[in-house]
Amino acid sequence: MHISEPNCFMELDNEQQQIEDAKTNPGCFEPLYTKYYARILKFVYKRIESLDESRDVTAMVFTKALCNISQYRYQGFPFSSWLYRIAINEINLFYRRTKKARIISLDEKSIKNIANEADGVDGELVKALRQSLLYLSEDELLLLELRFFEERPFSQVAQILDITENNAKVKTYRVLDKLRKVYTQIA
Amino acid sequence: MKNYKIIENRPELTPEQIAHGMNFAVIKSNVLSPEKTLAKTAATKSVIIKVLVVAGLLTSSVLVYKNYNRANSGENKVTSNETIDNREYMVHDNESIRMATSKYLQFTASTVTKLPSQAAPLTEPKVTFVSGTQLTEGASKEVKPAAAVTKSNKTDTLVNSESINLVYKLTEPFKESPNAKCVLLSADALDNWVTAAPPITMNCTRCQFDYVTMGELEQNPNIKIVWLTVSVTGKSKFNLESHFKNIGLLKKANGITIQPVAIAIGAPSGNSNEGRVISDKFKADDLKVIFSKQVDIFMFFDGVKSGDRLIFDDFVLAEVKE
Repeated sequence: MHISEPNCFMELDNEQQQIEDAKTNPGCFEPLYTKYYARILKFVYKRIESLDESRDVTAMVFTKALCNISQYRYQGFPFSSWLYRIAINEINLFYRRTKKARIISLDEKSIKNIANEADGVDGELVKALRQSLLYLSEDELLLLELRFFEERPFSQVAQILDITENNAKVKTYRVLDKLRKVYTQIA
Repeated sequence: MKNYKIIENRPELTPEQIAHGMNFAVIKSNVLSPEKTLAKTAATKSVIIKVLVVAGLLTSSVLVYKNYNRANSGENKVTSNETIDNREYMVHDNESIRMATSKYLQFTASTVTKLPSQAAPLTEPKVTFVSGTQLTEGASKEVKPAAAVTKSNKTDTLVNSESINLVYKLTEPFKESPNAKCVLLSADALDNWVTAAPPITMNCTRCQFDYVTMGELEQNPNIKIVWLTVSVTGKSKFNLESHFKNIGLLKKANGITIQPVAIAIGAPSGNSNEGRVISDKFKADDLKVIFSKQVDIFMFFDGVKSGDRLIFDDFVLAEVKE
């Protein structure tokens, strides 16, 4: 799954105008809400088991975004990166509050992406790879999710995590190394 | 190993499921609800707290700066023989000298009533402080306004009404501090007084002492010595204010309160007329004299007579006796 982000200057300009309007009039936030609601809901739903709870968290993401829209400054990143960052914080808050087990949504394509990147493992080791995911920290898992499960480019991963692109790459490959060691031991 | 829950091949959300949760009106109402107002209030509070902190810092900085300037400008400079800052002095006891003194004065320590550590305080209704007004004994009426109080011939004597803050109404019942004794001595009675004193400690902050010799005091025959002894258990602490403002002698004859010309704590330094005592010119931000077991203070008053009343720091009341 690849989520395309607006790259067109005209689209960005239009979005910036909507953001500026929303700073003075909350009603002007609606086009942004409509535009990004589905992406944020899917993003949250991949990390929270219940759909209703995902909707609640998504609603909270947009509430906080609208509350703090006056603090948003365009720094060359798309507006969605800011929303994803809020969503990550809200998801973490949700798990801290509810004490529930964190969800990892896996499909065949996701696991193959990691397997190819990790060592070109065959099908026999996929099970061990799944198991080895349980040994990663939340931050490490988030990196893998953004990069391999959701197939985001490094630039976007970096924007969402508020780090540099190179740092995102380094961190990602460190996580892959760790994953490789773990599943080798398990296998 | 972390407590993750792996869900495989989870179905994607359908457009209906997505659309079902979309409701911008709810988001907007949440933002415009009191929660937002609360957030605004919290932000306002934060700003107010920051402003207060900055104001506090500025105020303290100004105060520190002013004090620094005051300390450096020599604002309190007086013509004095000594300047002593934040020092502690110990005057050690000399038992033999003390015995000799007692014998000479025919006043032994045993005659001093043993009482609790704190001298009996003045009870409120019996003490009336009248600013700038002098009263006569028995007449129960005001006879002299403060402005009319004349200064004594001796320049050392403080009778300036501005400096008098202890005025005791003679008509009020007089309750003497039971553990205090006030004895009248002539100035030459200290000729045999030598450097001796009960142990005392002086805690001094920005003190500037000014001394006068016994010889100088004796030139005025009216100056007599009032020897105050107060028995205490443990330690007793007295403040000495600049110009002895907290020591007053209420004169029986006319109701005027005067301050001492000089005082000697423990004893005048030296055993002759050349001994020095602290003049009333001394200044101190804070001077505490701590006595152990017994308070001994010699106060030099101009024109003191038997029957006058000594008021020390609103704390000791004693009648001067021969």
